[in-house]
Amino acid sequence: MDRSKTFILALTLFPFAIGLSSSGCVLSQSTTGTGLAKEQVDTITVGISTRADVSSVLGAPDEIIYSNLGHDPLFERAYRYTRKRSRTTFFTLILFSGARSDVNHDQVIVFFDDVGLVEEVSARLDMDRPRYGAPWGDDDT
Amino acid sequence: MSRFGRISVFVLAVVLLSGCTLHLAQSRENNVIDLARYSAIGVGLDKRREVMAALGPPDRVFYGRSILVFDYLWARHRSTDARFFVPSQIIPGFDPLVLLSLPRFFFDLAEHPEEFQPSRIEQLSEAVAGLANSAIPFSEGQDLLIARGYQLRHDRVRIVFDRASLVVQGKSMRFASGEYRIESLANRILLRVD
Repeated sequence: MDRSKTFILALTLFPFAIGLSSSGCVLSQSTTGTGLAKEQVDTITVGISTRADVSSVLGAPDEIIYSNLGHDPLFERAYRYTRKRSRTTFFTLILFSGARSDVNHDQVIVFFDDVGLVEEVSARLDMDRPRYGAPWGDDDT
Repeated sequence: MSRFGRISVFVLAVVLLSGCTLHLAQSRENNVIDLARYSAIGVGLDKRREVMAALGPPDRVFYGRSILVFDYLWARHRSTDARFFVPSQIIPGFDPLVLLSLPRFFFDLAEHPEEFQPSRIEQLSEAVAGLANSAIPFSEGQDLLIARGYQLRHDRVRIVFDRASLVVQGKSMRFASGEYRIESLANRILLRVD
């Protein structure tokens, strides 16, 4: 093959090589908020634990829910703890690219009665549920 | 290099140099709300405890003067963005509707059962064939065709309690929006379907 043909072939292959070398896949994961464990939540006892007990077990709440009542608008009715996990898949294949982001929350909410004792506790601890995956398809169930 | 090899390299190079791109994106937040469990909640019967046992802790809570409100939220967003550099003189009579099948290829149309739904392969074949034959003279030289689509869906279940923590109202809401759009740099929006 003479030089000019080699040059033309190299020139033709160059963008393909650039495109192929810049292809790839990235998986990323981020977690923010308060760490929540079932064992910790189980130590909170309805009718016995106080706000102080809850704070000592789970830490400072991510959100304080106030009663919003006229006579005592700053009465602390509930503490909410949240941990957010997101998993993102990104890939690029020459000129085709895709991204998928899946976000889930662990949540614990603790309601207090009028004297500040725990009235109810509810928890959802399924942080492992967010998944990596393709940006197409329908797997919401 | 064989003739077939040379042609393959040429076609690949043309595709790469033409700047055609396709980007798909999808995002989801939270678990799907279990509407069967929601339906089992009895207005005037169940209390806050039963609601949280069925649906878990709410995503939003707020107190009114005499009510307490729980919101459960779920969201999904999908989008496609396809860009094609198109020579401006080729075959007249190009129907931009053809390009519409490309973003639709990646979306679930189950929410629109009244629409005719060819198979995905048929849709993709249609889109590619349309593209191959495409392009009316949008402008001098080259033009950029952009086929975009998105679907956005928010589900929300709202439970309202009275002062005694008894369910007084339950409401399930779905907000959905979507758009498919074909744009040309020269002529801007060629086609838009909501």
